[in-house]
Amino acid sequence: MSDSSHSIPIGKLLRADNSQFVAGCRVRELETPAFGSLVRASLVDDTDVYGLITNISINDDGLVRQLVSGVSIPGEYTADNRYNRNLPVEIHVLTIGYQSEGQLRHQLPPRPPLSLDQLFLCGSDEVARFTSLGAGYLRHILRLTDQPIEELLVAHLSQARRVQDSLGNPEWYEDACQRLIVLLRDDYMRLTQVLDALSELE
Amino acid sequence: MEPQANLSPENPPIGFVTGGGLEANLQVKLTVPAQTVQEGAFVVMDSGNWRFYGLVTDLQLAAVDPNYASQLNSQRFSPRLARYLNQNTLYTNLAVMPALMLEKGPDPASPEYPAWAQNRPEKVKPITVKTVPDHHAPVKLANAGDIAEIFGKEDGKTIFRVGETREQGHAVCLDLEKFVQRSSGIFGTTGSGKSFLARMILAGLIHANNASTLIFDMHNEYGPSSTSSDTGQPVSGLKQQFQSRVRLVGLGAGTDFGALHADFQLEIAHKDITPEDILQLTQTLNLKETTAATLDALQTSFGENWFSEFMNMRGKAVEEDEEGRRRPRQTAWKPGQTRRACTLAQPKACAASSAG
Repeated sequence: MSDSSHSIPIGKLLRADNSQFVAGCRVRELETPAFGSLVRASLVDDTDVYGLITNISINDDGLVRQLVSGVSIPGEYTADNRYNRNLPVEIHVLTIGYQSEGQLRHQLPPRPPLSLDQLFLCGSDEVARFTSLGAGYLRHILRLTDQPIEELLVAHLSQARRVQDSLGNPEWYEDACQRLIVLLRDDYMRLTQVLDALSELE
Repeated sequence: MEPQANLSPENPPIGFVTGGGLEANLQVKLTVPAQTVQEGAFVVMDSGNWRFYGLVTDLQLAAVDPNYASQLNSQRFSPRLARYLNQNTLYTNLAVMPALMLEKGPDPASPEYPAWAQNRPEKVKPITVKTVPDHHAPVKLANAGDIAEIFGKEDGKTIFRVGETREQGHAVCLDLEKFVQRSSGIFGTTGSGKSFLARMILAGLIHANNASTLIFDMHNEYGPSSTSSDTGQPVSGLKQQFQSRVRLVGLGAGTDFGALHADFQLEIAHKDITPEDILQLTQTLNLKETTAATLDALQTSFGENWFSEFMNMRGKAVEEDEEGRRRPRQTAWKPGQTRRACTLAQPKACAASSAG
């Protein structure tokens, strides 16, 4: 299990399968996780499952719908609804690798996380360690069909590039871009959309 | 000669085989800039126990998707991303004509090598290509050893250097001893260097002194010195190069080669010309179908001097014979010569008259 002393707990597992999982957190915990961030779910058997945040959703219920239809909402009602009620913010995570017995791999884990397993936000060290294994895990992102992958790639690669550049390894980003082009070059429309988005990082 | 290892880091692969065949040429995907390879380049491909030798016959631009080639990627994406995109989606294909193959055997360090080495002939020679290399067989420009394997190494005797490879300047040689054992031809488009190459080969043959050469120099290109029509530079002739070993023969009296004189003149006597010689030129001279009969009549009338008599005839010149009939004017009668009172239109009458 990775050292979680520098990792920030941001939620607990709601549901999962081998390729993705959903964690819930309270609104105040929402300050830390961001779209495209690298996160880690720690399993009871000391396996860590790594993923990228692909979506953060805030659901409604009957009370919220009633409140929004009101003329004005007192501040204490808003705070109560956000911080006291048991409606979780859902963090959707795409699985991109796992670590078991000290070995880090960019493959899907043998088993998914279990309900209520803790979800942590990875610090710079963990991001460096995970991405230094190579950029092959990007293929998992390309599996997504219901998310804007170009936005996810921009969000994640900007974080990963910052970390690798700070380690004196600017070639990592070049390799990641080349790998993306090779993976997507048979899909002209998708690749050009991704490159349009990545060009904004240049 | 043992096939030399082509594993030098100074000669990295330029591409790999992606398809094609013996008839339609092999297709090679280039992994280096297209300008580093030219049409006509010699290449080698190692596959299994064989080394294949081929010639680049074409270069074709290609793309993973035509859309990548139809727009300037640098105008849409950042310069770095555009460069990566072009590197990974735009490429060049080579068409390689496989020509020869040589059994080089397995890796000398492999366990199969001793058995193979025991059974192979002492001198392994390239043979005409009979099969194809595998997919993804690496393709390299032929190095000096590869060129020498096929064309031989210049030895100052009969293996004669005729030029160099375009890319790397390796010597391309001709084995003159083998060259003179077979009929050969030099073919090429206008200005491709046929005469130049022929002159070099003739110089090599004369220098090697392993064959006599009879050169029909129809345009005075080889014997006397001349000027290159492409470069305007003077080109030394074989006579200047080899002096007394070359004899210039003028075709016909009075033939000269400027400052150079013919060693002798070749003249053909009129009486050595036969009607068959004329008939061979039917198409060239645009002769009619009646020519054969005419020639036969001339020969019957005038014997071995038929050609001279014919050449002395003047068209439409007529005279009257003893009986007052008009006939083509004949040559002046000389004492002792039988006057033949016949015309070209009456060969049988002429023959009878002569007999009478």
